[in-house]
Amino acid sequence: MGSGKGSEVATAEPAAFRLKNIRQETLVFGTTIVIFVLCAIFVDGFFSLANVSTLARTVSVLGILGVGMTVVVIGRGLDLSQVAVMAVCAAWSLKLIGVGYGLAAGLGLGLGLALIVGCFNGFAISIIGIPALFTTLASGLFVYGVGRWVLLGQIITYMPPGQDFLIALGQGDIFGLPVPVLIFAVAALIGHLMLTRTRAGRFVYAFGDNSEAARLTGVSVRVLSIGQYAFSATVAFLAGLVTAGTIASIDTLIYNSSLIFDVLLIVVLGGVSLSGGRGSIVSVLAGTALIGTLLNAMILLNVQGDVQDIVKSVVLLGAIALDRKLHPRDEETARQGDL
Amino acid sequence: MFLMTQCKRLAKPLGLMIAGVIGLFAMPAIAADAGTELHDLSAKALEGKTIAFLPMTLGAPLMDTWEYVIRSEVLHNHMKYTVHDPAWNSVADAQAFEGLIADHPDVIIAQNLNVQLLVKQIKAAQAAGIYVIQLSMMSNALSDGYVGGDWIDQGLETGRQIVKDCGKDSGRSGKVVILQGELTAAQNVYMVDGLMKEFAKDPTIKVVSSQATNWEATKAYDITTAVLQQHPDVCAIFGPYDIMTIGGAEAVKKAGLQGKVIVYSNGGGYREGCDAVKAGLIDKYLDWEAWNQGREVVVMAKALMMSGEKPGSHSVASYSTWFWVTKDNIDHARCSDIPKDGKPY
Repeated sequence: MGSGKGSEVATAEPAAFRLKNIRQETLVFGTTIVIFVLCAIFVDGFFSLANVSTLARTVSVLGILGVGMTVVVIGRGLDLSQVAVMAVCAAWSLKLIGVGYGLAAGLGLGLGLALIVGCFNGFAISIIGIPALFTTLASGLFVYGVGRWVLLGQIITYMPPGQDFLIALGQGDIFGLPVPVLIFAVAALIGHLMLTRTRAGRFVYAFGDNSEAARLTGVSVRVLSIGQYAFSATVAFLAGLVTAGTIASIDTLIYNSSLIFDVLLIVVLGGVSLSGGRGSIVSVLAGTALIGTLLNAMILLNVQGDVQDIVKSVVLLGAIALDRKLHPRDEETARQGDL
Repeated sequence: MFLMTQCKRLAKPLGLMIAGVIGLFAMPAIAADAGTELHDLSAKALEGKTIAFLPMTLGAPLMDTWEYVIRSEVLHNHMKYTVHDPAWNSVADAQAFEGLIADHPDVIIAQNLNVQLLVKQIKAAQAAGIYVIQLSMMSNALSDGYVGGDWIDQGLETGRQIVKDCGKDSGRSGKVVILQGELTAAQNVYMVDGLMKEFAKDPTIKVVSSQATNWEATKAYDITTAVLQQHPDVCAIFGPYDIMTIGGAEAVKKAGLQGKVIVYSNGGGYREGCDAVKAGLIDKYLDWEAWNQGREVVVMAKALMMSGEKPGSHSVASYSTWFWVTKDNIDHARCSDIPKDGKPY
């Protein structure tokens, strides 16, 4: 019996050791492939080029937001104002274009508003010192409120007629690929190059890993922080335009939906640790692929929306639990308000 | 003596005649009195009274149409008007209703987010002596009045129409996609119930997808895109709310299936709904005229206040009439639009 136990331990240990060494995104990609193959076999209508393209298109807005969120989360932040910025700024652009501002002016003002919100977030977090959770929760509410009462007046803002460029952002195809997917790819590529090839990108990791050490080394952490949130807001604005192009209108009610948690879901799922400093844009691609596959399969299987939410929440819980196991909270660098 | 008797015999008819003549002259005076009386009754019952409106949200075409008409009618009748916007949030909605009970208006007109939400609050308001009229969305509590669609009836009618267009004698696939709103909202619950009853009569009708969109057009677009790829021969798509259904219709358009897939919806016949019909996005639109509902609900409020019945003692209902709007008869639809400045009529 004793020897049996010994052999059990001997076989179990290398396995556990190996699991720890696998990167989370590899694990998620692996899971995605398994689920994908299962769906291709068992779900009617899943395995076709058209459906895979639909699948990618459906999650591209989520993915675009995820790229912005990743940059913020790696820097040990959080941006809950993304969806408010996305809805209100894009809707404001549409409204301005509708009342006679040109395309460029309308988009410029919308982007300007997004940048102001992003910079404010960074300012409040890095200079005033309010935790990111509360800052962005409040700024999101603020933007939504101002949008509803001052800027828009309507919940739904319609695309002015004749805006083919904006419609193409949501509905167009280039070389058979949906434009939203291409925008997601470009955003991901820019995010990836920025994080891995630029000094600012390396500083984001350094700051996320140990903010105090980064500051002492001479990184201008405040400017860095403001830059991260400005990037996140810009990306959110872009996601808003894609959404508006898709259905020729944008509904600010989307702020009340669970979209922001879906964004967090794909980010955390792919292995971007909420304690900062870990993960990459590849993580977001992994997370987006898994959630996209699950969502698409559930739509095709005619699974009720509430059940879809349950599945998503279970996956999120699992991902966070895994994140905590793989990247335990570092008591030396943890701060109050950190997630 | 004879003369006396004759006079006496004549006295009665003569008297009646004189009375009649006097009566004839006096008639307008009496009629005017009844008119004044009614006018006074109405003024006494209504003037200075407060009507509070609590829609699910403001800023959407349906609720803005109601808001405009109710406000105009209420102010025209020298009553006071308040409106609250819970922004499609059930917690804010319940809080706003409780706040209203404390403010004690004379009538609360509420559109219920879901069947369970305001049940307790409606009873509390009635106990506090406030009339409650539910507009368009019923809850599980009876209130003093209801104005809005007969959703079951409209569901049955839509079901009959779909069976006719896609069922066994149509030569089409019979595949139906239902884009549900919120699973617990009254309109959604009753309409889908009605649909399914009609579908059960025709075995060729097959519901290939029935999922909740939470009233979001984007979600309707995503679901429709995926389902149309799986079943390109879908015959009918139904969504119980026009603005959300437009998202599904955009997906039909993108898939190049406009005209092949019939899109059914219903709504209050405001400009946005009409535009969708004109653009060929919605093929068959059950119009229940939100503008009329706005007037009806104020008429009901006035009737309740003039009746003087105790709140909670009676329940009255006015189910809205409806008609199908298609591209062919769009000219007959009201396609109501409210003025940009929102000034009451």
